[in-house]
Amino acid sequence: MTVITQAFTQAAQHRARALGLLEHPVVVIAHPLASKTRAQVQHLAHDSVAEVVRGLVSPMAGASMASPPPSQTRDIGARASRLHLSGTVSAINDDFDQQGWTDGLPIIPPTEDLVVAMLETSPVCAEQVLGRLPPLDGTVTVEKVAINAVMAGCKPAFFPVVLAAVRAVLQPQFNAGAITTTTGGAAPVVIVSGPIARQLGIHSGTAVLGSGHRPNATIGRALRLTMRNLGGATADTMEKSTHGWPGKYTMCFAENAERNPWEPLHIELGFAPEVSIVIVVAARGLITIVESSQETGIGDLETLVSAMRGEGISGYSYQARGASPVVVLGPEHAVEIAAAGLGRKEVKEYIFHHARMPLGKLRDRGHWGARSWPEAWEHQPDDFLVPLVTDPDKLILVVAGGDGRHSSWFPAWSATQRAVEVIAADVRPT
Amino acid sequence: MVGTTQSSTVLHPAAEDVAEKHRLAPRLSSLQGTTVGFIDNHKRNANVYLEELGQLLQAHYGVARVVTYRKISQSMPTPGEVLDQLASTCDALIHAVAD
Repeated sequence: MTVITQAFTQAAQHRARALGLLEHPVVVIAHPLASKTRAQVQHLAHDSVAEVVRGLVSPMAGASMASPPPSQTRDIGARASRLHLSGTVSAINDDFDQQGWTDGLPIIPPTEDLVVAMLETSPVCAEQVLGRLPPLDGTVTVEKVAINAVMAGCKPAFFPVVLAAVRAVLQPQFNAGAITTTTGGAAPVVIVSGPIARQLGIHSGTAVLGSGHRPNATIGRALRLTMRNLGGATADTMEKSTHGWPGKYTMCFAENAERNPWEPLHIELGFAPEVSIVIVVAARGLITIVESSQETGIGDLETLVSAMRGEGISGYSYQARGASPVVVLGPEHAVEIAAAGLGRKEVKEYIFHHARMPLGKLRDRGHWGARSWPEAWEHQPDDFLVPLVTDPDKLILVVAGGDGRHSSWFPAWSATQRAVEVIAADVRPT
Repeated sequence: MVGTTQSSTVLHPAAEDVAEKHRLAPRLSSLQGTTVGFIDNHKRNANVYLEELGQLLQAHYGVARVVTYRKISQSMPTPGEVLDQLASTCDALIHAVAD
């Protein structure tokens, strides 16, 4: 049986249903638990113990211990149902919105011809099962991804990138289920590195993290619609972000190959120059900094790392899982830093050594009560400098953006590890 | 185009899985002498709640022993081997507290 606070009632019901446990006993106590005093929490235990005992020793009301009704499971890899709708495109949009199948923006109705065209660029067949997407464990077929890519507005040429991103979030260490159910507002950030970025026009320059670039907007959106519709990432079921951020709609961009002073990201990660990859991380948001007064690359880095410190940054309490914060250097900053003699490795080491917080500043703040870090740090004094990550290679460094002396970083959501997938080649022109 | 009336066949975009239904484990006839397992999800105060609940179950309901596994993070699933071990050594299992 499960004990939850009131705020998680719907999530528990939907998860139990997805597991086929319609009779799962749940005891609901007052929300929130975390801000209550010890005495108040103990009082809740006294108030709920009788209900807990009933859940363990007596049948649930209306529940039978006899065999459950026969399941009507679908065949693995079954094709999507065809829905016959009449009305305007607006009416279809209204219908999809009411079903909870959109992100609030209008969608392109996924008609058979559009889905077939999308599937033509797929390296694998429509029935191929890519996995099951938590938290509600929907079966992800290539066809279902294509449907969501049509809805998002993707051109068929973008589909191999969408498929790679979906495969990435299905990797177990990415922890896609908790990315939806966390109150921490995590959203996937899709970074494309390799020649396909230029081939498809995935934007990497001016306003790279903003709007106006169809590949960026629709590839990221297709991933999010897939997570919504196959994983159950909806606010009335499993989505529990206190705030969330616009990355929950879409966040996809490429490295600026022309203005990157270093080797490309995919080569740093060990891939051949002709290979293209997606790197997907889960981030809690986007923080931008300006540094237009310093005259050296070191000055740029000093300002950047100062914006990576703070008591409320969850990564300082959650290094054990090995999440990857992403630092996006604007090209002007990157060139200045390179001119100071630093390569990718040196920049990451600089950030590793300087993005640190004194342990005493973290005590009893942020996620202190649920910290998950190396055991040895428990015995360190208050002036011990706690790093944001335990290893410089957990950091992802990307050069992207246009003119101007600005850079950004995505604070990682912490109970995740990045996922990398190679994008299947043989992409047709747009 | 937006205002054009049409009849369309569109493809269902969401999961159409039908969960295989599972029967609950038989409820216990009594808690007398039982071992109850707790999965503490590591949220602040989950341990306080479960410690108190464990004491109450032992003091007033005959539970012989309480076994606790604390997740490394509330956002990480409990490993399958831990679940298997708890299932094989406990008469009942309580997961708390989603908050």
